[in-house]
Amino acid sequence: MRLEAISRIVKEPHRALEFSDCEWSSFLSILRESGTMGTFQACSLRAGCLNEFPAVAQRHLNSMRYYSDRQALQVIFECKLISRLLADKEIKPVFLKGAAYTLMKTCNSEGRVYTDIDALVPVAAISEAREILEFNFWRSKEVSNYDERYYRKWAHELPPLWHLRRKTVVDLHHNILPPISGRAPDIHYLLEACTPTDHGMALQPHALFVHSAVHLFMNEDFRNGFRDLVDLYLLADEFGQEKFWADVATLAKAVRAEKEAFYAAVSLRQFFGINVDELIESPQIRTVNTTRPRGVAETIFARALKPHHKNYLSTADKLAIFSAYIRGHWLRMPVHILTMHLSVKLFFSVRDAIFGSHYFEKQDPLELPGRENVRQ
Amino acid sequence: MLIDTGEYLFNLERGAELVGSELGQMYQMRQPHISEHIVDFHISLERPGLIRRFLRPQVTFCCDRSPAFKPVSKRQAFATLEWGMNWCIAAFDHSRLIIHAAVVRNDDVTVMLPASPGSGKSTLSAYLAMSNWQLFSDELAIIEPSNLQLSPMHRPICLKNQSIDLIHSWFPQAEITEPVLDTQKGTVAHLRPANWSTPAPAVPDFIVLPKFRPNQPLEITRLTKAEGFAEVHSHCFNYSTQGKRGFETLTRLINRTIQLQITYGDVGEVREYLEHQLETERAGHAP
Repeated sequence: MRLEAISRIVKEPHRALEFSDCEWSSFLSILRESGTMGTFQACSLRAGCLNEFPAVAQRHLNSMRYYSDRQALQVIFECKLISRLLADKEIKPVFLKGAAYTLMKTCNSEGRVYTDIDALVPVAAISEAREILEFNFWRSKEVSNYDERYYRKWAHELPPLWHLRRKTVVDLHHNILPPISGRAPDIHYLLEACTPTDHGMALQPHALFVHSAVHLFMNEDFRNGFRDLVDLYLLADEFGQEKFWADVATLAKAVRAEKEAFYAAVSLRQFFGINVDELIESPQIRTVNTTRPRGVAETIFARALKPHHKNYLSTADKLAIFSAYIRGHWLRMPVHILTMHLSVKLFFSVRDAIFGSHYFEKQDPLELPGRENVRQ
Repeated sequence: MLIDTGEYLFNLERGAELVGSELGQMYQMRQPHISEHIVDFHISLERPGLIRRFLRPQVTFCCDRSPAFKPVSKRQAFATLEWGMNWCIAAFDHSRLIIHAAVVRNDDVTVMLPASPGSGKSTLSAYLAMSNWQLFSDELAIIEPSNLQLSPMHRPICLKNQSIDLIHSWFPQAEITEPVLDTQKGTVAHLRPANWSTPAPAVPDFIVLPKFRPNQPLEITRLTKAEGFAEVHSHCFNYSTQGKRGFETLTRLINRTIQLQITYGDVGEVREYLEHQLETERAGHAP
């Protein structure tokens, strides 16, 4: 099973009908590791071929879809509650990413699984918003002193807030990029591109696309890169008519994310073979279609956006992932801060490599003793 | 190395050499072979790089090459493998209701034994499994929502602390792994059940909640449906994930079964009761 093939199968689920059992075993493992198993169930259901897959495969696919549907109910509950709590102080949170997909009922929300609820509020309101949530039993998880200073001084978001009883997680943002990067846009462009849903405000589809592109291509951590790329593909597939691309281009320019939109378009063409010329050749994005961004897309993103299943990554892939890691930090921080930050992180990595990765971990008061650290 | 537990097929991709003797003893593994069937979970026991590979060596259970737990001492490799396999089922199989319970079957009676730590469930289910009862599982009752059926799993029984010596003394010829100290659950060993045939899937008839008290004479209390629901609900792994379907499945399960609480001091008396007197509960009290 080649990682390059996975995106084509997501696009054309009928291809999986030809799989041997051995190929199914690999495919399911890659889907699970990359967090796209439920998404593939939804794609194959829409394509009408799910019921023809082997029973074992159907069971796993349907299992993750069931979990995703159940999670969506929880997210709707949380968004409704958070909107109501903050409305008392006239703060209107705009939900982003996964929560927004669920509220907007986009195709890519079907089968999707995510860990946090992301909400955007103006920077002037963020302290008050945090206080309201803390009053209602959300608490910050204990982070290292270094990370706490990082969040306060440089970041565009607060440390995650966990609900004490329900264990749901809220990420409060006041911007979509860290101020320290110098790239943080004027968020009123995003706050204007939102729409009310039944359970809270969410970004409109073209803004979802732009934000997803920014989040993906300015990130340093690409473990969910493939899942996020599939989001972009499904948004393009569902909404990609002419006005949509014009709106994407306009908003991308307003928030100074033309390059990220360009990377998104090139990656979609590379991985899914779809026609994104309307975006690439738009007046706003055309200007960034030069040699270097094309080179970055071809050498780094063409590899780093594959699923990260260790059984299938080549050395070149791992090198690209590391380059993306450095690049992501580079984009978010001035050089002198980056150097210091990477040195500190390197020190911690070496320390953990010697002593073991959990030796110095703070005991988390939210984790009960004896509970395993469940990945989800 | 493929581990076929009947209901789930695991592929232990890496680290099989760390648990080779236990796998041979518990599962009687033959030569590894490429599966002709779809593997449910790809698991591995991974060793860290650098110093922790040699100094107080550790091992980490991974699924799809991604860590599921924090690392444990290398001595605990088999225990972490078994718990990891349970974790894969509980974390990823959302198609069924999963209850923390042992399930045993004798003739045509299927008994589910949900229990908290300290209730003696492990010792009791091990005793039954070595006494001609068929063991479906010592840990996970996996219930199909559409028809309430439980499927048997070929897995060894996890014994803890005093259980290990008790089972040794009752069944000197039993296959038990070398005890491992200082795990999260204390001292742990695994036992191969005497009877590893494959019974057909079955719907539970009785739900029995055991409570061990030293020197306690056998005491049987029949629970009301509401009490039964509350008790079993507290032992479900994935009740909240199952949502409405979880409620409906559990309701049908409680209505279909008779729930009993058994306080006991002697496992022999419990076996005697289950083999000869349990049926009177069903005959004497029509649902």
